[in-house]
Amino acid sequence: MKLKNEVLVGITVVAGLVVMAVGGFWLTGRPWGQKEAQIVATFRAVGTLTTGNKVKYRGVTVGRVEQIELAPHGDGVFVSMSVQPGLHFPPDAAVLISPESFFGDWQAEIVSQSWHTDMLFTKAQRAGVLPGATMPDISELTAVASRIAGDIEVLSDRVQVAFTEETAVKIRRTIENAEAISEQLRGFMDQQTHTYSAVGGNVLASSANIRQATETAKLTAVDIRGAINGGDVRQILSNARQASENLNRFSQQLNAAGSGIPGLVSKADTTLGSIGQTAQGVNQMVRTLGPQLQQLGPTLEEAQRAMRTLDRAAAKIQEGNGTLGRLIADPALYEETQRAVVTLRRLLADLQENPGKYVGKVKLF
Amino acid sequence: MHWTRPFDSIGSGVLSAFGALGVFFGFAAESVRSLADVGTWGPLLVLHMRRIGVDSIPIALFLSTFTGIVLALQASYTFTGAIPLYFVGTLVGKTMILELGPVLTGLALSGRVGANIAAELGTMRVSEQIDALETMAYNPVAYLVVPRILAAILMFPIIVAFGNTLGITAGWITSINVLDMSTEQFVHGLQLFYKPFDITYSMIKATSFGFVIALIGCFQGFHTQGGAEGVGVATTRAVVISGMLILVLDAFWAFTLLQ
Repeated sequence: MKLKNEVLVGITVVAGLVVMAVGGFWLTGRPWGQKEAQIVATFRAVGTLTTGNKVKYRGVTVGRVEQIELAPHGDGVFVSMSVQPGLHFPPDAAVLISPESFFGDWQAEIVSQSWHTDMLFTKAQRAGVLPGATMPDISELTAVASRIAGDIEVLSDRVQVAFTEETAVKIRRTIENAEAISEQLRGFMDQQTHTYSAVGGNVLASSANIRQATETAKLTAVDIRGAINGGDVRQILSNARQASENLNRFSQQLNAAGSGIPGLVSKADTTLGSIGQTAQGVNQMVRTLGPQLQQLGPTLEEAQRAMRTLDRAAAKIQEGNGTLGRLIADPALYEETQRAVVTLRRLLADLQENPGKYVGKVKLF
Repeated sequence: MHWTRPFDSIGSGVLSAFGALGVFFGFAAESVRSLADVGTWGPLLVLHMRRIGVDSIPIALFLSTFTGIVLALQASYTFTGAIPLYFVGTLVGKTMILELGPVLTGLALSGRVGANIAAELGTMRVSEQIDALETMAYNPVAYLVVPRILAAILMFPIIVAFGNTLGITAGWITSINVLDMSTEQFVHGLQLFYKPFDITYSMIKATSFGFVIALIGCFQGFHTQGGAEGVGVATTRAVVISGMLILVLDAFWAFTLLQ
């Protein structure tokens, strides 16, 4: 059957128009026979987003960008999008524009603002407009990454220059030295720990010794008090005063020494040990002194008797009895004795000046 | 040689060029004026649509099919290892719709349609058939030129639409059978950067190419001089000038519509 020209042309034209219409609509990616909902979002800038770019929600394509227009005063951009009807977006829904891939295709993604707390969304300027934000272009990120890579390269070169074999050896030695110092510090700390432990033990021992010495001294004081009651109080007081002064000086020296103790902690052990030994010595001395002080009583009695004998002798002398008494009581005898002494001095002086006058030749053999 | 000779040559050339342009634009203006004579060109329109449009579809489809195949293969050859293969779909679709579909179809039809028109009208001119029409008070432009130009303007977008579709289809079939791509990948790439304006741009170019091919063919045939040799010259000029103007228009539309 041969078709008429009109039929052929008609078929061709209709088919061509259908191909254009259907093909053009199919290429847009829109769903067939479905009414779409419209949403509008506002942005500060939209990057390279263009009409026809995909609109996604949770990674699924739900629409496309329909229109991009500048805000009335140029202070923002409004993007109109058509999306599938019936979708329920989050209450804080916003639109995030970002690159879809590394090759320049962009997308608008409907998100919850809580999913991207680090993003600053442009606030909607009118009701019904979603806030929006734009991710930086991948080319910007790659440019930044390129700069960072360049800096790292420069840094690497510098490290390579600075980090020679000699540097490595020095670093290794430094690490070894640090390790040795660490070992020494650990040993020192162990030693100090032991020292402080010993010091504590010595302090305890010294405290016990001092307590014993105090008790012994108390007993001794009792004995001394008894001795004082029967002896020469003045002498004892003098000795006690002297001892007190000595103790005072000793105390001052101890104070002076004590002021340096915080800085001489390491010597405290020895000092306290010496104090402990001294306390032990004092204890022994006091113990030794106790019986001697007990023996001091008879000695004092003998001394009193000697004094009384001396007193009596002095009384006889004052009475003019005996040689000393006469010398003291008789002025003539005293004068005569004085003259005899003067004559004797003269004779001795002459004898020293002229020994030959009084002594002849002396022959021993 | 007289000193005025060079200037005489230049002046003659300029006057000749402007004279030819004047004749051409006068012819074009006459064609526009003849649109009012619907009774003359109307009955002939469908016939020319069949001859210019429907009969040209096979050559356009053949051309587009192999263009689509080559585009897919060259794209995959270029993208291997660097760019995802789904960009094959992008490249095939964009290139076919924006450039190769209209331009290759236009160049092919400038040979078939432009040469046909120029030869037919040239023969009518040299055989004084056009003079006879004028003698019978027929408007030869309305009768011979207007229906051909309108048929070309109307049918070229249809031909290019078929060509684009078949070229993309050929690229798709090549991709899934030769390049180990899936249909989803190809379609993803095809839709990735598609804009509805792409179709509009393609149709604008196709329409303008059809207009230029038909107009140049009619002009050259209408103004054929001499015998059979003149017809041959007119035919050659129609094809060459049409081809050149197609490329010039291609750049013009790119500058005008894609900037």
